[in-house]
Amino acid sequence: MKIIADCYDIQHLDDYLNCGIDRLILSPPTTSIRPVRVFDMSEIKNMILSIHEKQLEVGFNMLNFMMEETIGEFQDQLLFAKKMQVDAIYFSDMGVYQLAKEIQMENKLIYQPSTLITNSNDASHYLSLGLKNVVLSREITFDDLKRITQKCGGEVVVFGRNPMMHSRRRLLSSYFEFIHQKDQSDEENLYLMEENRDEKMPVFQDETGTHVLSGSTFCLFKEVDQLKNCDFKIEGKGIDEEMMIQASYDLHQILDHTINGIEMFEQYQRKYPKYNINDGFMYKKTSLVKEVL
Amino acid sequence: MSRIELLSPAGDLERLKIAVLYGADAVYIGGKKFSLRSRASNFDLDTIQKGVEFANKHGAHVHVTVNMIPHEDDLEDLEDYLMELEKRGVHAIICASLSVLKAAKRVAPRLEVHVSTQHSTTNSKAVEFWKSQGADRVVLARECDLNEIKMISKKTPLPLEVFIHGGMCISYSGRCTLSNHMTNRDANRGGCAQSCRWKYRMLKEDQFIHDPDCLFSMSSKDMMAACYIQDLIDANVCSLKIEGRMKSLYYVATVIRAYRMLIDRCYEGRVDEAFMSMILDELSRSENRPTSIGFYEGLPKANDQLYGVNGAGVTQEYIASVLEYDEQSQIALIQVKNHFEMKIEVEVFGPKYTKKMVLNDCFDMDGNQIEVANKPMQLLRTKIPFKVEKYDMIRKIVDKTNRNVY
Repeated sequence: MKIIADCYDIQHLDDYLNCGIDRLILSPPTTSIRPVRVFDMSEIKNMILSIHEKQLEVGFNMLNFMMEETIGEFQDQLLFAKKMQVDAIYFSDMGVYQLAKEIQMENKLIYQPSTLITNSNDASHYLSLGLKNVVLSREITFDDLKRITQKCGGEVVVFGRNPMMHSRRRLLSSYFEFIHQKDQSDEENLYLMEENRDEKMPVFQDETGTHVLSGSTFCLFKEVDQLKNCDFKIEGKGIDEEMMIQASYDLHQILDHTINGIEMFEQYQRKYPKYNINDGFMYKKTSLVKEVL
Repeated sequence: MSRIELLSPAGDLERLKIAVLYGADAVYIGGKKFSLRSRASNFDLDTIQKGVEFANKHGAHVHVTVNMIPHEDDLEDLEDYLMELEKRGVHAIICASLSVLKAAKRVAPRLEVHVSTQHSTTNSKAVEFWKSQGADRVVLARECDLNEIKMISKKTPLPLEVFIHGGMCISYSGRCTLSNHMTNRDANRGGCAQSCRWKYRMLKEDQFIHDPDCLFSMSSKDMMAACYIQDLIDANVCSLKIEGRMKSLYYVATVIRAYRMLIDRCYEGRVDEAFMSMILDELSRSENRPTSIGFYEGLPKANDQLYGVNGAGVTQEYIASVLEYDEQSQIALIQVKNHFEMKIEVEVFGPKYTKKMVLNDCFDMDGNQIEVANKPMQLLRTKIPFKVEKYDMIRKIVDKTNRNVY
């Protein structure tokens, strides 16, 4: 059972090591989405060497959609990853799988389409393609999550904001243009709040389009010790590095049974009100449709 | 080379018939199970069979959406269902789950399997993947522009289907959980609440920065790609898809008829400015939101978005359907669809004609003359001085200068 998290700053490698992280995810340009930080390829080369030197694994964020004209860039990054012995490549577009298969590195791939791995049949079918792993969707119940991991393993996101929407459009720039305001789409710490609700949902725009994250932070600390046969992922986008390190450390302690997950979950709810910690869809049925409302 | 397919949505059997009669080569419908668009009046198996029989009689096909992203218990009975679809003559299923694709190939091999746009396929390598898994067609993501569609089509080993008309998800399709999060309704299992089209305030840190008179929204104008049909034919795309299984009879009739005329003219090489203008005018009569060209020319811009508008309005131009016609007496039995007064100028249209006339006096089934038709579904008799047929429609002629759909 590994703990996987994003790399914010390679200077903090010892901190990552000390909090129990087993795999650090690096985000290269163009091919990544929702990166906590984008590193250029020359930086990444040195980072991989440093991370491997500490006996940690390296993951690559290649979760962006591959458009026809960017196939070459994805191909180059896969070749680079192969040469540098990157341990895991996160992807969400089956075109990336096809490219990886052509250079016999599909066994390094982890499929993370965010919403599409919602049952054990699909998880098994994708794993049977020779993938290293699949990341299970978050909008399923805990019962389903347990059943899927029991049957076929998988990687489970246990902490982070939920990515709710990814549009290829530049929605923030369009809005500022429409209301004749200076384009503030590059600004950090932008939020959306539905007109009748008070949840502050992070929103940002970059070269991959516009992303909306949940205002709440998903936390599975009280459930993790019931999950076997899977790896645990902490997603950094929308949370700061200090929070990520703390959450990794505490997750490690819970898995070691040094601390109690239920208590820790409750403590997080009290201690980090700005993160609005909750258990996401774990105990919610989302099968409602309009007729039955 | 076979001609490009015009693929229509249909929410029920009546709309399926209209789609076929007005020129669709194929119609996609949802079954009672495993399908998105829960508000569409989805088809049970017997109705699917009736739809298939009707479509086949007119040389058209029926595709059934099996496109939900199933959760752990949702796959029960899937194989039986797929076998039933095959047995009842369905031509293809549209799916987004690899499990559904594999099950169809295993238990119902005569069904074509089309990979849904829910999978957001944006490149030829992904199409290659779907071919390796046994898929017969891929529906490209609406995020592809015309050049990308052309490039993919040149390299692709599978027939491609693209959207040309209708509503657009703001997110890459199938990857959105806004509805799940905000309403507990799973967009990938038929419950989408279209939360993207709601209004949002915007903050920087804790300061509101939106315009209070025009809140932020993620609502896109509908797509209308009539100007690209010739390009798509030239690009060897196999199917042109209209969005909207929840749209009305009138929408299906007007949109399908317009694209049918346009596609046929493209093949005849006779699309001039006047004809195109007529087609665009015709498409503007349907109940769309305001339209734009989607991604066909690249990233949509500010004026391709909608702010302060949530849904498609209803034009109320469509006032009656023809149910029967007696050629000798020239009396038609019509069914009221929207409010109208007598003696107004109307257009009567069918799949292949449009004629103007002044609406004659109408009489109810007891023979009483009507002053105003204001009871939807009421049956009336009226004289129409030229031959009309069942499924023809009557609409008001609206002065568009004052037209306000919202």
